[in-house]
Amino acid sequence: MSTAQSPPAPPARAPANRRRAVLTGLGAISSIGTGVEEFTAALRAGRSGAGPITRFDTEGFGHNTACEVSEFEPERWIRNVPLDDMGRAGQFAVAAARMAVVDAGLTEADLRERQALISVGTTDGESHDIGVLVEQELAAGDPEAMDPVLSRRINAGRLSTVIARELRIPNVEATTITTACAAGNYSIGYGLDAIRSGEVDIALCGGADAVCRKAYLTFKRFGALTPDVVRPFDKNRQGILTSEGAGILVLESLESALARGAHIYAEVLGYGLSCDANHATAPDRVGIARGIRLALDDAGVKKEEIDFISAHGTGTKANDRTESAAILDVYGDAPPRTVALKSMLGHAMGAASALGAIACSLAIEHGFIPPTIHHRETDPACPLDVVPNNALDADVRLVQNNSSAFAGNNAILILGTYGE
Amino acid sequence: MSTAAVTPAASLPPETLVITGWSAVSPHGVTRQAFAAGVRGGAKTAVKADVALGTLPSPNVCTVPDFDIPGLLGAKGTAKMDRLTALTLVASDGLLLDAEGNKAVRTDEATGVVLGISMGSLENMTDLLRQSYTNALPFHVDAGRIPFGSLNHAAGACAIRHDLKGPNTTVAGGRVSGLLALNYARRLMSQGRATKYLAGSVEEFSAIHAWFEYTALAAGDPSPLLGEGCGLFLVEHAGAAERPALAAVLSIETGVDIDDDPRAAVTGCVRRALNRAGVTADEVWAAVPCAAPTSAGRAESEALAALVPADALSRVPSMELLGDTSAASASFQIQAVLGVAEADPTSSGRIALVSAVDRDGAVGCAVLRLLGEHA
Repeated sequence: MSTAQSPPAPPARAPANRRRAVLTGLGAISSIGTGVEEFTAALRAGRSGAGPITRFDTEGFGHNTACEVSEFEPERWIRNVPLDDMGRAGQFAVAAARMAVVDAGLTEADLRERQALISVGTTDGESHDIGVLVEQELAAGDPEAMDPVLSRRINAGRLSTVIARELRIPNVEATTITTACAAGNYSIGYGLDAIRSGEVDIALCGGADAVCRKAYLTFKRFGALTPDVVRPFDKNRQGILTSEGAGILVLESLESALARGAHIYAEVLGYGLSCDANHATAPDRVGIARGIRLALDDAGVKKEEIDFISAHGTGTKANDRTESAAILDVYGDAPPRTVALKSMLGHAMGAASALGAIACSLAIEHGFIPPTIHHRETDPACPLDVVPNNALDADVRLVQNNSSAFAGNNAILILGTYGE
Repeated sequence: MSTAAVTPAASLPPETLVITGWSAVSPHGVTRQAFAAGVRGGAKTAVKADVALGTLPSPNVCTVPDFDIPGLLGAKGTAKMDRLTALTLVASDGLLLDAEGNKAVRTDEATGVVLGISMGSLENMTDLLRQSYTNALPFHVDAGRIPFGSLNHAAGACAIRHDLKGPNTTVAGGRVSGLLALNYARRLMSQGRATKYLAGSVEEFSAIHAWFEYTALAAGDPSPLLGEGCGLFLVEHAGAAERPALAAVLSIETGVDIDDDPRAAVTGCVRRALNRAGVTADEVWAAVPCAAPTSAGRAESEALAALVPADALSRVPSMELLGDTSAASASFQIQAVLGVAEADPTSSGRIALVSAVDRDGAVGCAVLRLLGEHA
């Protein structure tokens, strides 16, 4: 049967009687600060997470900078599962989940009784361990020399199941979403859908990644690593810095949050997913714009109401130009302020948009817009107010958090003050 | 077992997720027909590994036979393509195209793709790392292979090949990933984000995958016979389906074994799935465990044996015949049921159940009602 002449399908329709989802706990581990307080202070101050790479040998790369998490103490947060059961990305994920749950005032007993979702986004998972395994094989000339402790923990699915094991939640859908650099928003969106549907009360969502040779060599080979600092939307931007960390958010049905008197940071109003179906690595203006429109529609928000956009804003020539164009396509000549947290955080891959969502929640909570640092001269091809170098105090009610990934995956999230 | 009442697809609630098509690229061959015939015949698929794979921890493998990537997909864009992406694309062609290569399924901006994996193409990823460690400079790696190193590449490539612009997602969960993918599709469709989904899961065989699995073995477990392949489904809502429903997905439940007691975790998960499906264990006509060659796999089989009628467990030949297909397994389990059902006129209206356990602690179960009509 040939279907080329078939009429278009009716648009997918959102069901009525959706439950509302609010954010009641935040866990952030980042190169600019760990924990809500430190992370908030760093966002306000416009701190940079860049520093020398310590995780792997960078000899021969002619470059040695990334945004690593320093002084991470996993044993502070991880009590029930042996630390060796997970790599660094898993440790970030679990520690951030523990932080978020504590921040939400939820106990393990609270979690055990509920139907829950855990969704963790990642780009590389435990690719650092895979790199070490390959190194072991090469050094010994024998694959049997590979460390079983590492080979057991390399699959990305573990990033979410290990959170369930640590927090002792048996009745949980634990899924790791590996849509690369948009994975954090994807995971939060999935949590929103699970709560809206009424199937779960609580969702622990976000993303985690660890600095690794694989990501570093990928961006170095593509000529996309900046030699100094990340300058998104700047005329002289030269690329990204790879980064790491985790952001986990507690999404809760509004009924559940109100019933237990939880503090509500913000409401997750909606999200949009679009696939470019165009190019394996290049960003696509049409696809990004479509994702933004889908998100605004899903949230029931008018574009004029958005107070600022947290851009994908990687600092590469191609991304920032394309993303700016997509934003202008949707918003016209007067787009909202558009900031790039990656100027501070570097590109934390699957954690990036999760940390972005946390930053947006904190902006709503505390009334400020975080800055785009290292900014000198805005690229005329990116005619945006990027809130250069200094945070702004502002009444923030509605925020859009962008993310895009290789393979043409875009995920856009809309957060707002609760109570509107 | 109770007598099965034949439930026509038309009497299902309109938002019920139904499977209206499937394709399998498997150790039985590259087509759905080869898979169904191989499963029904109880054919073994293990072969001596190709010498080109180098030294392996065990001599036999269950690889997809005659998997000639440029021959199946054309020369364009395939020179550096990883095997996992190729398995996915061939399966997507099998699902969406007719025998002449024309599009046989209507797709649009509301058609989603969700693909389950373990860790993507480990061969591609480790090759890039090996080049980095051994070449003169550590970033002198084959740039043409880098895009295939993204864990979401296969799903994105599927979208590019067939112009599918709806939600495009990759989920990782090893042997449970096929069920996580189906549930993802179900949930996003229930929220109006897509009207139709290509959902399934994929695993590739490679020497490095075999060595990772070998070194990861628990003490006492034998070196596993590994398989590979990709199973994809076309899923729609019963009330809007454009093709006849082969099965209704009544429930999908997943959980995590938090007490290192896989038997209890599987038992609890299966009970929840049956409960949500509104059927009893006695009604199960076919039950297919993932049959993982591990202590968790043995616990899974024991859990099912204690729950469902004995003849349900012998309805479909063991998944061991395909080798451990890891992320592809749950999709293949459902497809094995569909393959058996299409040749059995008594299957219509019956209940089928598949379950899965994974090294990372995930467990899962799906309950289906078979709806295939027989002439």
